[in-house]
Amino acid sequence: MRRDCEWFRHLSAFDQQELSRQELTFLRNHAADCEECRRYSTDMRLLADVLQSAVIEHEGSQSFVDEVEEEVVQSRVLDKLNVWRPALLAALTTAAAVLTMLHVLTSQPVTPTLKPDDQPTAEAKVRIDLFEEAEPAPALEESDRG
Amino acid sequence: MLEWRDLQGEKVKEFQASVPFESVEAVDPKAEEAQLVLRTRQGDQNALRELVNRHRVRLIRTAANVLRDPMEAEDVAQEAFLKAFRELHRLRDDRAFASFVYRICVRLCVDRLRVKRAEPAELEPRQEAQGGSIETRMLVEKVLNQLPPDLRLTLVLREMEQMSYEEVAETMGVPVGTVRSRLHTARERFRALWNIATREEESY
Repeated sequence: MRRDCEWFRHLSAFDQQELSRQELTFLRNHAADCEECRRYSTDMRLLADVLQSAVIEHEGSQSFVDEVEEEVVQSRVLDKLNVWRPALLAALTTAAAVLTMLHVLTSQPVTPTLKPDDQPTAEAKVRIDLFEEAEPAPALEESDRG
Repeated sequence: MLEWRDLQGEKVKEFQASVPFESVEAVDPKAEEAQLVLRTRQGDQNALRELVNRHRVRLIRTAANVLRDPMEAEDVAQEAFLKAFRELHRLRDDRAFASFVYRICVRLCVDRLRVKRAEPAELEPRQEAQGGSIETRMLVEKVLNQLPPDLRLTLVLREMEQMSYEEVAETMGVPVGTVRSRLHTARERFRALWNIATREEESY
């Protein structure tokens, strides 16, 4: 097949509105010159007509809507649709409650407030004694600092 | 002092107040559709019936032309509606229910075509004359049966359902360029097969 014929068939696949004026002119001129592509164009138009003439205009039976509704009811599709929304709502409410609780718990003051006459606990006393018994750290000399 | 703009604003407000909210909504069919989908989600069977009634003709017609069998088309359309309602939670925009259910229906048609191609061809012709002659319809059916599902679907959506390239692309979930090249191939193959089929018919 010639390059022009290939190009002709390629452009034929487009809608006329999609083609530029140059492309339309090429289609017209090539069809005038090439008998094979002229036949191709005619075949394509016939093909469209043949397919149009074979269209089935079937709208379905009168009971179609009832049948679909019955199937939906039997398979409980609507119930399932109804269920997931309240379930999601409940899950979100629970999650929100848990998060609020966690926030409240973690925002409690960690260090207790001390009053002047509070006595140290036994554990605190041991720590204080250990601190007082420890030797003071040696003071840094000038040479140590480099 | 009131200016012309303010007066205009007042007039707009007066007009808005005089038009009932329901009638503003009813003007937009997509908004109405979204309402029906919402009501269906809430379990309203009347809304479900209305949705089925709105879209059944288009779905059954397309399925009948793709499958070339009106009875099977009804089965597929019914299956498509059921699947759409079952998967309603996947629908992000309630206004897009029409294309959602249509895409499901077309996909089911392609699945059936794939199964059919794997099975031996049915020989018994269906005698339902509509439009063209029975012979033409049978020949079209015979040729369409020989095309791969994707090419057949592209050809039917474009040539029989008269959809634009963009609509075919959206329905099939492929780029417009793919639709164009598939259509080109489908037409070429249909033409070749059609010529063979008509020559065979003439020789009988």
